[in-house]
Amino acid sequence: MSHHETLLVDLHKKHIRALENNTDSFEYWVIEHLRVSGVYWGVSAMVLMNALQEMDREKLIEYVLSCQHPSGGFGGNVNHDPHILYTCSAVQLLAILDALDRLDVDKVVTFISSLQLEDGSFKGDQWGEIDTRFSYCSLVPLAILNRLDAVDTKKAKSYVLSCQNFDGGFGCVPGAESHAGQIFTCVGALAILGGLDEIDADVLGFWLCERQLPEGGLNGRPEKLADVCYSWWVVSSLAMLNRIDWIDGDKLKKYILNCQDDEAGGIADRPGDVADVFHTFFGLCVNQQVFPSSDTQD
Amino acid sequence: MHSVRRRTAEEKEEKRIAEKAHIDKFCKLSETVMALRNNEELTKEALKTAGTLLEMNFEFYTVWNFRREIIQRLSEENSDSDALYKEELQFIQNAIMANPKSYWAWFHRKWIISRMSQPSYTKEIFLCNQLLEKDTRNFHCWGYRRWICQKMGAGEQEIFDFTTKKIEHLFSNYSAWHERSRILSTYPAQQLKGLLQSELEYVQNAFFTSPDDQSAWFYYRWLIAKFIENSTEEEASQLLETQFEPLDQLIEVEPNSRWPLNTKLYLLSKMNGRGEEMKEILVKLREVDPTHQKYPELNS
Repeated sequence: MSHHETLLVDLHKKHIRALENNTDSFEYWVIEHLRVSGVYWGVSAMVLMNALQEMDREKLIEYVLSCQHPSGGFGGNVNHDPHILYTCSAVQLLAILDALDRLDVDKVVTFISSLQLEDGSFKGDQWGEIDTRFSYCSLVPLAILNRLDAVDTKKAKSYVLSCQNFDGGFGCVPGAESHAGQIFTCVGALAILGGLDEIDADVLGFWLCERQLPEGGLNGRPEKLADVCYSWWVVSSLAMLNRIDWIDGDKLKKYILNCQDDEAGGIADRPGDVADVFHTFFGLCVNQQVFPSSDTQD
Repeated sequence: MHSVRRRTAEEKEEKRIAEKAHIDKFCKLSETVMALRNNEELTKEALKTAGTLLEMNFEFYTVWNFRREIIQRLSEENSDSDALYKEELQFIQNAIMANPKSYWAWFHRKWIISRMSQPSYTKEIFLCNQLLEKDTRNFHCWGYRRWICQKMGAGEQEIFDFTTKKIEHLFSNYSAWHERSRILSTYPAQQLKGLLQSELEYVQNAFFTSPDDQSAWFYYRWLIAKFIENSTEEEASQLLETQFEPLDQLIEVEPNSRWPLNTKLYLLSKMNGRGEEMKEILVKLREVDPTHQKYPELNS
């Protein structure tokens, strides 16, 4: 295992830029269905490294727009079916690229509001899977577009709260086990809806900070291994609850640094594993959240 | 991508060569399936081709959507739809066995079951139980099992007994403790209170057996909070007083275990005038658990 003292920013930039040319690896193709989200993670990682200007803005905008379906929703790639997961990534991307003026906002809003059900929950697409991830992914673009009025926010809030569990955490539907990723989406949704005061932040905060393991990284559920992405879901939830100082930030930073690939760049889920764009982005997010004035800045 | 070890340059090159044919096949098949869909070829043959593609990547959600469109059409054309659905359940079972964490595959199974006139819920429960033997914590599987139980009108006692079985097999099965709390939460306050003594003994047995495992401790905290919520101040303080003896015993045997200590801190915080004891425990906790930074009990 390699130990690093600093964030290998140049290597990570190289890693991100190389992604689109990595077509002789099956990993490239196997995530073809979520390319829009992949681009969002990559572009956002570049933003966190102050390197957005190194990307081809116009090409990115055209690509994102080409994934939009006549219904207004976005697919994970060109000609793939519209789904809220990718609609969220697409709107986030266009906002980052300062290109929301290129978007037919009413169409997107119509698509999103068509997903809300009577009980306040959101389905992911016309096929009807329900999940609090979809609540979050519906509310984020609406908030960005300043169109939260297009859905029933009161019901959206009560549905999210109905997914809260004995341990203070949240699951994907009422009764489902707490999971750090799901907690991020529910706490995030409540933050957008102005409902954070309805959570017992001490109970949830305790569960969240108990995700930190002695090696510094955080897991997503009790008795699981530490992982960079779960570290982000937990840390960001703690931040929204104003309890970021409940974990040991120095230890977490060391863990993230040790998950870096010091040859090809990028950050992996755990030390010694293969890096990918998802963990690279979330690793950088953790770094930024816990150490806002850190070494990503030139 | 999770838990894939990093490769050497040589291994990377070997992988590249080995994958080339696989990639070509995948790309060609993707094109074929997308073309079939554009032409609205909603046939058995197309279903098969889409299946071959999914077997290469079960996360290709658009292809699952295509399968549903085909199945909708075939079921309209065919009087014996249940045979079609049964075949589809077999296909999904293979998908789930290969990739037990695929949201799309689990959803597709729900979709099929919902369309069947007489689905075999017992078979579904059997499948879930089998999968939960392999991975006791698969939340997709727990969620699907919960959904099936609801559909078949399974009794709360039955689900409760299942959690007992899973917990006794493995005390650190947090998913089972979660399920147990969910069932108890549906009970009226008085019924829950009546069960409390036996639940407390049950959970104490678990944390005495493996004191470093978090699962039982979270459940214990919840039980205590639930009891306090539904009791008079006097009842609550009587109960709390009885909780220290077993904890102190455990602290004596396992002085370096953090959970008995932080749980004692939690109990003391629910009582009046125990500030000094709380401070003493905090000193010990700082020694045995340096990672943990803050305790909400000491905020107030």
